[in-house]
Amino acid sequence: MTFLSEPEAYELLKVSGISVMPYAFATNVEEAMKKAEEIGYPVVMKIVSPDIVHKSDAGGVMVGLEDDEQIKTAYQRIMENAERAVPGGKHQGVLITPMVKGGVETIIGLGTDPEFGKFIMFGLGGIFVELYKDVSFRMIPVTPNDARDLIDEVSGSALFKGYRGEKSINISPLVDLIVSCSRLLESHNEVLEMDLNPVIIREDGALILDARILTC
Amino acid sequence: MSSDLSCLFNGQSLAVIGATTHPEKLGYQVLKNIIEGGYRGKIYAVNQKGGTVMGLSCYKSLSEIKETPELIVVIVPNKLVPGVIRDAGARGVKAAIVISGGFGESGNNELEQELMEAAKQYNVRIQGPNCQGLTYKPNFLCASWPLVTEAGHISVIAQSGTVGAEVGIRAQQERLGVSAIVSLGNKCDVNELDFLEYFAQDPNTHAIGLYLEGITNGKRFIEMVKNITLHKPVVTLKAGRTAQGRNAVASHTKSLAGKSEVFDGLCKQYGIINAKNITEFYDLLKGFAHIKPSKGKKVLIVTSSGGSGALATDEISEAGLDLVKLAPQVESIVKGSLAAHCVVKNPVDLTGDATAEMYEDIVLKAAQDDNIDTLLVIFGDPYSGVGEAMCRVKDQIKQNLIICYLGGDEVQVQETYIMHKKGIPVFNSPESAVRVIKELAEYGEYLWKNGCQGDWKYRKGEM
Repeated sequence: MTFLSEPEAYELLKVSGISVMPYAFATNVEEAMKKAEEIGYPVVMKIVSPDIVHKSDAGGVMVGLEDDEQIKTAYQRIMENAERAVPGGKHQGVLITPMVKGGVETIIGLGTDPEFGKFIMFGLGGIFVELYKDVSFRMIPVTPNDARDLIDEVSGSALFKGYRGEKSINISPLVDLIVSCSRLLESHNEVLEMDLNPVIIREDGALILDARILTC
Repeated sequence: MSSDLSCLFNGQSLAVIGATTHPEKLGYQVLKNIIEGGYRGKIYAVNQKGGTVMGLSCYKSLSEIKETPELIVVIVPNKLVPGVIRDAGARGVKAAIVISGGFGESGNNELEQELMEAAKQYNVRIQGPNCQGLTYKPNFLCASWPLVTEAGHISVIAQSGTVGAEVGIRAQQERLGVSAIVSLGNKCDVNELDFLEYFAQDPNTHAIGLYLEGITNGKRFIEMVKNITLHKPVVTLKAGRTAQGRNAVASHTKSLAGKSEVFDGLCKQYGIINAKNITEFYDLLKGFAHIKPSKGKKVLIVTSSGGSGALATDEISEAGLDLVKLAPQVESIVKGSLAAHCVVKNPVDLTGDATAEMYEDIVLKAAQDDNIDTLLVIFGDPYSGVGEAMCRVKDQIKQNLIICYLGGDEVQVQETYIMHKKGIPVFNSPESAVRVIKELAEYGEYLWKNGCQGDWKYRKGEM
């Protein structure tokens, strides 16, 4: 069983018709500055290493980078942190993605139940996801109606309906994304687990900010 | 192969292999229950020692019996079982209920393998081994324990003999009865999916209960169950909700239980009603075997007890159901029929002055309000005559009628029997009644979403 690297995971999502944020892979500081320029500041920088699965825990994520100077510092620190976390690991470089603000943070998970097969999980994301356990499950294939039920069942889905005067958010892109994930699972038997976390739900769509895919 | 199972359920002659005169042994108990359960086919008793058991002269072996029994019930020491199956198969016996234990569950995998091969070679369908037998009331068959004599419409498939037995006992005590109880045992041949398929097409089964620990083929289960729930309710109880529960299961039948959250999601997705414990399991089976899925969530309570009405109100709002206001014209009709001190809101409180006549009158009048989906009628004192009254009411109203009877002691018991005889289940707590109302509403919604509302054919004219 192996984890795909983040760029590989995005590639798999893309070929499955799931739109992902612009991203660029860089293996040195100069390249990182160039790619950040292309994507447009502010950006996020993340370690790409097969030896590091929990990037934040290893100090492998820096957010809100505004200019070349910050890219330089961030690159060095991320590489140092990675080396400290896994000395001699295959730390290949960094991924540059746009910095996203606002919206509701969610998680879409996919897993394999030993008895019933593959399933999709949906929940409100963020760092407390495992504490609140406000998640729901459906087996694949998931229909658009199933996807809506999946979202409705989570108590935090009140946030999409305009909680306490906030604007309500259209959930159609989220429904589409869940259904597409179900299709991806159906056509890729090798995928055992997948975490899209967080997926930010905003007025302009469902934005995947991180992807972890485990294959057999 | 559901057609194959027909020999198990509908055999017209049977032999108990291992019948005995010792009352403490299963070979005695099971034969006794077969006789007292009123089995109408020919019964043979087989015991190596011969003699007489319960008035039946014992054959020393199957080969001594002239006729070939269609079914055998096997209660002999484990090592003898494969031989019994081979002999029986050679004689043309089609099915065997193997109650004997001491196979895979206690590490004797080779013996179980031998049993499976014997069954395959001689084309004998086997329930078990290590099971608690089979009760099937349409064939007056109770090759099991406890003895269930009341015939009803609930069929239970249980991986644990005790869970099935407990449903049978409750249904017997309440005179509601069951259609079938099967215990799976080690599932060396017939498994839960075969039974599920059988009960899905069995006209006498109106609700299927499934107690599961591990499942034989999860994907096949999903394929089957999503078709079944479109025309017949399936209630599940699955052990292994917690990590500790899963360990208990693993060491119990050595099967792995899946994650409960995933199973909960699966149930919602495919219209399965999932119970959390034995009490819910029984209540839901009782409700679903007799009451149709409801059109919506709007409930009106008619009660004589303010306290029970208040408790039911709490349960209803927690369950996400709606307590509706009566339509103004219906409200004034109801008010006009009651003394001034009665409260005509929701709940409609008839107070301690209530009588069976008053209940009948008010429920019929309230039912003129088409907006109501379910009428929850609570009897909170020993009211006589309400059983007959509700039987009359049920035939005249469109809404679902859910009865809750508590605080009524002996009278309650007698009135409950009357309603159960007419297929109106009576629940003895507001929480049980409301739980059933909630699931009936959700099931109705599921059917509607899947294009099945109104296509609820199997019970038409049967109740």
